[in-house]
Amino acid sequence: MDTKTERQHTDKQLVDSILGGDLHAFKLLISETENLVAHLAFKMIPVAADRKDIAQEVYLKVYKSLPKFRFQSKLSTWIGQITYNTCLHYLEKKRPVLLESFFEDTDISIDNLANAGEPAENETESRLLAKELNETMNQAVQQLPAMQQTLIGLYYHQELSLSEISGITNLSEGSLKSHLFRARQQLKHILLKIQKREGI
Amino acid sequence: MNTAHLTEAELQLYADDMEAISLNLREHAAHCPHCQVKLENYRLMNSTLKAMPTPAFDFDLAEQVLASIPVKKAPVAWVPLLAAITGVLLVAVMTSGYARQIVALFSALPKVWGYVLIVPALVLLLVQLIASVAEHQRKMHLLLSK
Repeated sequence: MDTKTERQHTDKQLVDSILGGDLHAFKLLISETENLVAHLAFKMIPVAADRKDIAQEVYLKVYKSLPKFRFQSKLSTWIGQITYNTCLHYLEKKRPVLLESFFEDTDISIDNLANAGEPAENETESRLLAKELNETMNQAVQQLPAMQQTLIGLYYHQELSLSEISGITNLSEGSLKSHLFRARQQLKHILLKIQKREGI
Repeated sequence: MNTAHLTEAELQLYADDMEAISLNLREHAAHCPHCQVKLENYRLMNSTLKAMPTPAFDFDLAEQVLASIPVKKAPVAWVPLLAAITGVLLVAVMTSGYARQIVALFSALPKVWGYVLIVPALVLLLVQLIASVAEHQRKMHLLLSK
């Protein structure tokens, strides 16, 4: 049995148990996907107090919509999609300014970014220092636009593939690659800047 | 060997996946100190990003969600209910209509027949009682273990 079939089999067993009224199975589903929901909620919802309501709303939606789930994607991707849309809906309804800022991107064009990384004449890129990197990385990530923070987290923390992230965010894989490229470029510049400023 | 340095996009792809760029570019990267520094920076950045702590809720999400799920009412089993009502009505009609005949029938029976009818009925009742208690205990145990 290949991994996809095996995964669908497990997803199906879990869904069948939940639909049969097994609340333990639903609890298991929550514990398995809570990380992904937390990641999206923390990156997309700036008001900490509202995240709890959002997370609860997500799982109630999951519970109600589960009979309609057709196993066309991983169960976790489907839950991620519900979370992403619920967060967007929240931003749209309650905080339109935040929604605007979520999609706000840097003014630097992708071409400029690509060139920005090239060394100027007689100047070489300095080496990032691993020792201090952990401390400054968090600081650097915070400076990225919210959308890029979300995508970076889905790609690196959650270790989702581009097609899975595409399934959650409804963005094309090309667009995701472009966002990730910009994010990594900016991160590198921010990190080098921080290290230079702090004389590390 | 390719003499042009790798672009930022190529470096990022390579840092993410060793097979993502052509062999020609990989050969260049292997011998070019300039590209190696950049590549190392991206690799270090990727590994640091992966190792960053993930955000987590500071409350029991599963508990909160399960508490807000509306409890489903057990569906009414109409067929057994109607069958039971019909049965009770039939017995009521029979006993009211043929009460004397039934009493006469049982009083005419030898005493041993009385035991034959009563003892199995009592045993059946006892078995059902024990099964009910066992089921109740099982449900209580399940409820308390949640």
